[in-house]
Amino acid sequence: MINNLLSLMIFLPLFAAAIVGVIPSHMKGAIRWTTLGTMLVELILSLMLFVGFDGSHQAESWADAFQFVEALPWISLKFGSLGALEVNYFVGVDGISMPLIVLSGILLVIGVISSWKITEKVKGYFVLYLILSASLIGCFAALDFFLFYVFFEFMLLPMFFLIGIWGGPRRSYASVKFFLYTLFGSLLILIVMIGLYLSVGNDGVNSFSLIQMMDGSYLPGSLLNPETHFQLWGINIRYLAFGLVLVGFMIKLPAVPFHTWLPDAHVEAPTAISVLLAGVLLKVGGYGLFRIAYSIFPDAAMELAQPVAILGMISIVYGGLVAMAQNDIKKLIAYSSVSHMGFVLLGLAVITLEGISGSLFQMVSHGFISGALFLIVGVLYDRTHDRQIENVSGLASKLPLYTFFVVLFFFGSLGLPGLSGFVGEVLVLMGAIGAESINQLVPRWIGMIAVLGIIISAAYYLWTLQRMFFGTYWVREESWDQEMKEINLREWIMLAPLGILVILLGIFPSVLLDPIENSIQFLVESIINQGKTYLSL
Amino acid sequence: MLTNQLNEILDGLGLLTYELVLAAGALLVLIIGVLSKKIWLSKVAFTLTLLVSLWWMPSISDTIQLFDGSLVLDGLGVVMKWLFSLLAIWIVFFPNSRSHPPEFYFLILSILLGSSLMLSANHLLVVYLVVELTSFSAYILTNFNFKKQSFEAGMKYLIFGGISSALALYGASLIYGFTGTLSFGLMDFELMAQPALLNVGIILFIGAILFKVSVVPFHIWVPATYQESPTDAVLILSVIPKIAGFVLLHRVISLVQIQDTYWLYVLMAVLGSVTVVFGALGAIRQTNLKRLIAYGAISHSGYLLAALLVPFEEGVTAFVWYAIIYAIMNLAIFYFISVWEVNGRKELSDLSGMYISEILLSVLVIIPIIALIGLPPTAGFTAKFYLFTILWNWYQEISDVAILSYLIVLILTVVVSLFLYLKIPFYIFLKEATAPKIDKSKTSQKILATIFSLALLWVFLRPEILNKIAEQINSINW
Repeated sequence: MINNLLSLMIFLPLFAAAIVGVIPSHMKGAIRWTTLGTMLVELILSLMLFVGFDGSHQAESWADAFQFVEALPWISLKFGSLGALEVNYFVGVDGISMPLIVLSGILLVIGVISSWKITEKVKGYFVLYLILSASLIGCFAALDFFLFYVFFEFMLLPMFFLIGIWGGPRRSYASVKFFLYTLFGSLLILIVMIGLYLSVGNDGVNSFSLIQMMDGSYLPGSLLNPETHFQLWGINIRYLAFGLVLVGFMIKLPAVPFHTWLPDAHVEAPTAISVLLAGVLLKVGGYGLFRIAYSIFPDAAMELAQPVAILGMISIVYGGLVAMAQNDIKKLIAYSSVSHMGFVLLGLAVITLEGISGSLFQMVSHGFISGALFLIVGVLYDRTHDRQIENVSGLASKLPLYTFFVVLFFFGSLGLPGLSGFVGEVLVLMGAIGAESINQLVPRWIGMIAVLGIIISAAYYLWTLQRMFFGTYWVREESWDQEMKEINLREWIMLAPLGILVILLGIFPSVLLDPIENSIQFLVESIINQGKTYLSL
Repeated sequence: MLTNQLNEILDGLGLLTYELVLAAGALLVLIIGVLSKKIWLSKVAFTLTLLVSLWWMPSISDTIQLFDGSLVLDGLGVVMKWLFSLLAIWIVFFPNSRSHPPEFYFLILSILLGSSLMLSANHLLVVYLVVELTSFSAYILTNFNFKKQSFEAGMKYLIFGGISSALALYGASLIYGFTGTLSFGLMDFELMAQPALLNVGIILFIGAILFKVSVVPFHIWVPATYQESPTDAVLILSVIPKIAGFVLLHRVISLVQIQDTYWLYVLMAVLGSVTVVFGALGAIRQTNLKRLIAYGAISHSGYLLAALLVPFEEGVTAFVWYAIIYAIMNLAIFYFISVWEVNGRKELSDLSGMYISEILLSVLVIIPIIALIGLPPTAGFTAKFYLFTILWNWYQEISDVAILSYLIVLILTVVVSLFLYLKIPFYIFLKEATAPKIDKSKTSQKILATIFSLALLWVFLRPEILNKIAEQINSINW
């Protein structure tokens, strides 16, 4: 196995970005192939990570829960009487971040292939794409809060330009809205980061280490120390801090009511960027909830389990209902993302083994499915330059192969048994309904209402299938008719692997569940145990 | 007795070499300007003056009082003088400086002289003198574009400045009346029961300093002045007198023991919060590039003010770092603006679609922009982050709601400032060009712009230099 595997994955795209930066901009082929080559190497590295990851490792504390760990000192600023403000370059993976890195590795390759159609300002596009890839992987690998935050913020700028320059007609509105919303969220996280830094450490030395934060080595008398019981405006400050990170990551996730940037961003973004946005960027929000909100504030997570679960349930149902009302198919899929990410929130909120495994599984599965769904929209959009559902019908007779993929991914998304979406959603719902008898955090009715989400998603997907793909063949504009060709090789290369993955994960969920099982178990135990300890202090 | 005093004065002069060099250099530049109208000669004299001033910077190892305590030399002052000279050198490279009359550099040196004395002023009358020296040079500089709008802006600046210094004089007389001394070193506010009129005096006096540092509601002159003054002069105005003013403010508020004068403390926190928010909100509707940055600079004053409310070395360190990084950010952004201005791009709308003709500068300007917003990976984030950490830490110690609210305002305003600064890349990249413009920026200009931008990245990635500066200050002050 390669040493420094994670560093290689983080810095390789940055290095490639520098290379692409010096390639003359008219050599579009060279730029594309360099990017694709880099991403293929990333994919191989991420598969090595997957294979090399030791799923049987049982952690005793967070300190030994991570593998592929690398740590180097980075910034050291004098900090008055407190000594120094130390930031480390500290990366590593456990069963929670590993699948997400692999997911990114796969989707980033598909994103490059999908970007092949970008013909304007190719150089700038791929430089930004590479920078974005590096910060995504950095975000999942970082074990130092400061480092995490730097990567987290650094994602926004490339994304802003990718949507703003290569996007659709309302791209400037959508990109600014995206930037403002997510920056607001990350500032909330920044407040908590500073608070945690000043509260966590060893022997009076403060630390940004997420591991120390998760293990709860608080400094005596600090504000966020659970023993201090500091009240701000009559509320325990730990609950406030939990609320801030929760909102911060819920904006990114996104969960109702912080989701309104997502449909705009999706509709305006170019296909490849939509794929990454839905497939990987949203997962950063979910990952942040796992790693920061729930692992560091278990007491607040337990106390506030019910409201968070209700928010998840509302996201599921409301997102689904709004999706049903859409005419634009890209918007429909964007809202269905809101609905499906609601399962992530719900599964996490109940803090049971099923719920949290389901939540993580759902993130990975949704990454593949939503990526594929946006590719499918892209296929149609490339041919018609239109996304309205009512403008086409009966495509199944004209484009049977395309329709096959559409049906596969629609069914994957609506949770047909045998496909990956089913596993995640069922696990989450089992967790949500079963929690009342396991840890009494969340009452049954929340899970029962959330089941409606599956029915709603079945309704809008089947209705869309019926309107667009079944019935007699018809398109609104005559010129579209000649364009209605079956999917080409490039589209095959993108859709087929995702299809295989969706089926594979649906039939053999253990491929993913086995390696993460120990980590999830440890996460659940440490949340519950630590939470009880903190609450009893 | 008289000999003693004379000797003391002569000894003191040896420690004022920096200021003396600046004064001599200013006169030299003025004479050269009279003899020859060649601007490059003035530039050379100006640069040499600054280099000599750095060369002859007195080395001090302790806080020193000069001239019966009317001037104080300390580590903070030394660091700031280095910053002033190192910053001012760059203005000779500003592309818009070609058309300046030679007196321009005389006035810049006068501002520098006034500001560096402001760093040491420890006596009410000295404060008044040096503040006026800075202000008068600034009033004149504002007019150096020789346009009707510039005169208007200069007049506005003059009138507001005149009123504020008149009020300051009145405040100073009240302070003198109650304390019986003009020297800060001899004033003792603790003994007094803080009569209301003395508080009025203090407020009026502080108000004049707040005018210099453009804290709301004393900011009214800023947008017009910045918009109409020559860009290199704006760089100086936006950094040097402002930082000097903050150092002076620091001296005054430690003198009146702000930590024990809670109402003043809260007043400062409120003014600071209002400054940050107002500056950011005011910028939203601006269409002129310099005006936009001017509102941003007002907002930054609120951040600088926050650092001064934290006592001890942490506060001063945060202040100095923020000031240094603020100086680099302003240097970078005003350099870009100056280059564009020469190419006929003055309004935001002139920037539309600029990336087509000027790709390097368009990409590079993103770095100072995100630094001004305060996002990683730039020094702007380091400065803000450190400031926020210091404030939170101070809150953790004293649990004072005023400081917490101030901190929250500071953090959340970053979103608004994102919106305002983002307009620049927004126009450059996202708007279609209305009419194709040919940019003729030279390679030398591109190199300078690259250096300024990369400096902001470098300080983020390798901030050790900031530690050295902090050591320098603390080794002398505390």
